[in-house]
Amino acid sequence: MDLKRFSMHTNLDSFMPASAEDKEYMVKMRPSSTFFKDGVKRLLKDKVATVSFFIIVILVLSSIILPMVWPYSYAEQLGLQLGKPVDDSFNNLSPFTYGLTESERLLGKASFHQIVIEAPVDGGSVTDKQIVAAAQLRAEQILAEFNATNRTETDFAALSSHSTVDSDALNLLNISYEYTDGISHTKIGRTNKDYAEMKSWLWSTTGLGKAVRAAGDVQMFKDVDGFHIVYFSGYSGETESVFPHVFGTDSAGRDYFIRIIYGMRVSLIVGFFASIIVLVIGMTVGSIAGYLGGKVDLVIMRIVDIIYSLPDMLMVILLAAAFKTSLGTMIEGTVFQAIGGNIISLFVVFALLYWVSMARLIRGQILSLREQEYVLAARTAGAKGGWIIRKHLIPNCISVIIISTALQVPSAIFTESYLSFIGLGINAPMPSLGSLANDALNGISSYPYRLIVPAVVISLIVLSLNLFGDGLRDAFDPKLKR
Amino acid sequence: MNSKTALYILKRVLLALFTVFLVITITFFAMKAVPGGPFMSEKAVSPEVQAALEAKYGLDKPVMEQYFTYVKGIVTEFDFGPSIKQRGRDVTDIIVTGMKTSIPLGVAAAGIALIVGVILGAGAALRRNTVFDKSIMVSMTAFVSMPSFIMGSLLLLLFAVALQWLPANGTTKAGLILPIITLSLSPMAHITRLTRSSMLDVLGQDYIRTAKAKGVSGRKIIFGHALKNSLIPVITYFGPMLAYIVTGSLVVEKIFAVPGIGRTFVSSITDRDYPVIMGTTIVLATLIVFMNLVSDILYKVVDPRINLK
Repeated sequence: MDLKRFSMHTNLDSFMPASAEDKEYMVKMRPSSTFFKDGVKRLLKDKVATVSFFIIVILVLSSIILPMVWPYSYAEQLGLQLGKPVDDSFNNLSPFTYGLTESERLLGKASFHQIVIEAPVDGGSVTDKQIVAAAQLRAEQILAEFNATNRTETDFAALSSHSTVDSDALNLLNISYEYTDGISHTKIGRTNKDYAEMKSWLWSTTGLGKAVRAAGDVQMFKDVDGFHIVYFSGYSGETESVFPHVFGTDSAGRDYFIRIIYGMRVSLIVGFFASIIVLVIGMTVGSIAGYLGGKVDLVIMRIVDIIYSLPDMLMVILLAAAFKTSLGTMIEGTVFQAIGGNIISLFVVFALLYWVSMARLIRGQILSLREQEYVLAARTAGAKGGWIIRKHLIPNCISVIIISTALQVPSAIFTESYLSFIGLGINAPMPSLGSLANDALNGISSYPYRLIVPAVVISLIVLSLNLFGDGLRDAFDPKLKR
Repeated sequence: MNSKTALYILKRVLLALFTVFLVITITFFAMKAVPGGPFMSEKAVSPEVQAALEAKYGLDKPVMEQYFTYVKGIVTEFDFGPSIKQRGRDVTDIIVTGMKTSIPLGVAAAGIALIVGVILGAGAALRRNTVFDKSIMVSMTAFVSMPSFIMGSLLLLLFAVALQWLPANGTTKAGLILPIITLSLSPMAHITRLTRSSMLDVLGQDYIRTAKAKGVSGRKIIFGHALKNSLIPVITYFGPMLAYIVTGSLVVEKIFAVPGIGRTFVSSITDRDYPVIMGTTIVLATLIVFMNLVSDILYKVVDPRINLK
């Protein structure tokens, strides 16, 4: 109906009976929501932030769980075994390949090739030396023919001196030629796939084989004028599965995948604790300055200004270089030694330099919050300064604190990896993503993946933490939205 | 320039000078705090030789006296003393030699970052919410969060190792292309984002609408009115950009083997050549502090709207 503004006509629509929909709306009030729930809801709507959050969760969980279940450790040099010379077949393995002893475990212990020639001993005894010699001679002729017609890996004819003669029946002489050594590894290759290929090649070239599963695979069973030739080849002993080296090994024969995971763990731990340190110091100093104001504030803020104007990265490098040696001797024998002097010095550097922006931020928040009536009310009720800061002021700027702490983590990770890259980070053999990237530079043309993997991981961590931090800011403090 | 601006500049200059002084002090005492001193090398040195060495470098004097001599040397003669590991070379000489390579490198990187960043940023702002804008912003976000050493290593891998288009060694002129690109990418991304947001801001201003209403051509609006004003916030980034290029050059020169001051610095850390560490830190820090100062002052002077506290 035509309704004129300011007219005395009533809108009759307003007096219509309520529809079912309206009733439902009236009955069921919107459920009440807390600040936190609201923020989480907004955060979940932000697809980029949610995806980054899941990436972070996956990375964190894998850095916690994988080192527990992984059969290799970050410092274990696989080629080093007690009482044996260094097995450098473990060094610089490409992904999914194996070292010598590992391929033996994979394929079965002793790999061997054996030809047994059963020679009939007509009209004589197996102990008769002449007859045995004649049989051996014939066996060697047969072998030479065998070698000429069948491509096998080993020249058995050349092995006649290694032949063993025994008999299991009175008129049957077993002359066996055995070939057992490591050559088969290099020929067969180190991977499961290679082994399978090799096996099928053996089967196809010595095709008339009759499969009898004995000590190894019987490849061939042949009759040459009464002489039975049985050719075994294969791997005796138990085969076992060997856990693959997903990213191969490094130049010292250490499993690279677990080193990456450990590097990730180090980076995440450093990032987390450094931001906690920054948070604690920045929050304390900032809230004191903001709450007390006056001369205390002035002095603290001048100090903050000066630290702020220091070129932080250069100072970090300088202090890390200085602390590296001095802290190393200082913490010897204490619990901190396990963490390593470099990481401690990194934390010290963070505690000295990086708290200033947090302090500034919190001071600004508290400056405006302390003028609120509830603070006045608390003060009149007799609350002390510390109580007011803890119970009233900090909870009210918690969103700012959470957001800037979250954004501090990637910057700390960045700093740590940067320092590790120039050789001031974590102590060897403990890896860090930065030091892994640095080590990879030396073999960049042969092993490019060793650089790419830590590079991708570090970029992923920093990028997803940044995006998640941005999402947090948008969700919990819409005022700050850019 | 009114008295308020002058006072502000004076305050900033004093703070900068104090910062530089503080850097010198921190550097000196941090290096003095390292146990063992610079002559704790692998070779065992007899006490007499040790004493003679310490006397030669003035290390036998009290720490405060050494400190004053050091500060005096820097202030009056730009003298950082002799290097310990590189016999017969002064730290000043080493720094000047390194700077001859590093300054062109840094200036080229900054120039590229500035030019490309402004063009991309302005382009993205003018084509807001198009595919062009979005793809630029996404790639710039990636560039910003990628550490310089990762960027450098990956570029090295791609262009020098895999494709072999450019040399991996930074000693030749062509070899400087990759280091320059590496150093320029992150500042470029920052400048692109800055220019885009300030350009968007400016384009929404009344005077742009007035100019449009007056019938001024699009090109004239962009170049005559919008771009000029949207570049002001970029000035604030000069200081951080220099800081980034300086710290970035440490790793980039290491990766590409550029014989500049960054590589000197990194190798002096591994060699424990303390005078070189001190000298390089002080020079680079001073550079950054003064660039921050200049960009801050320039910002306030260029834009009279900015309120000086």
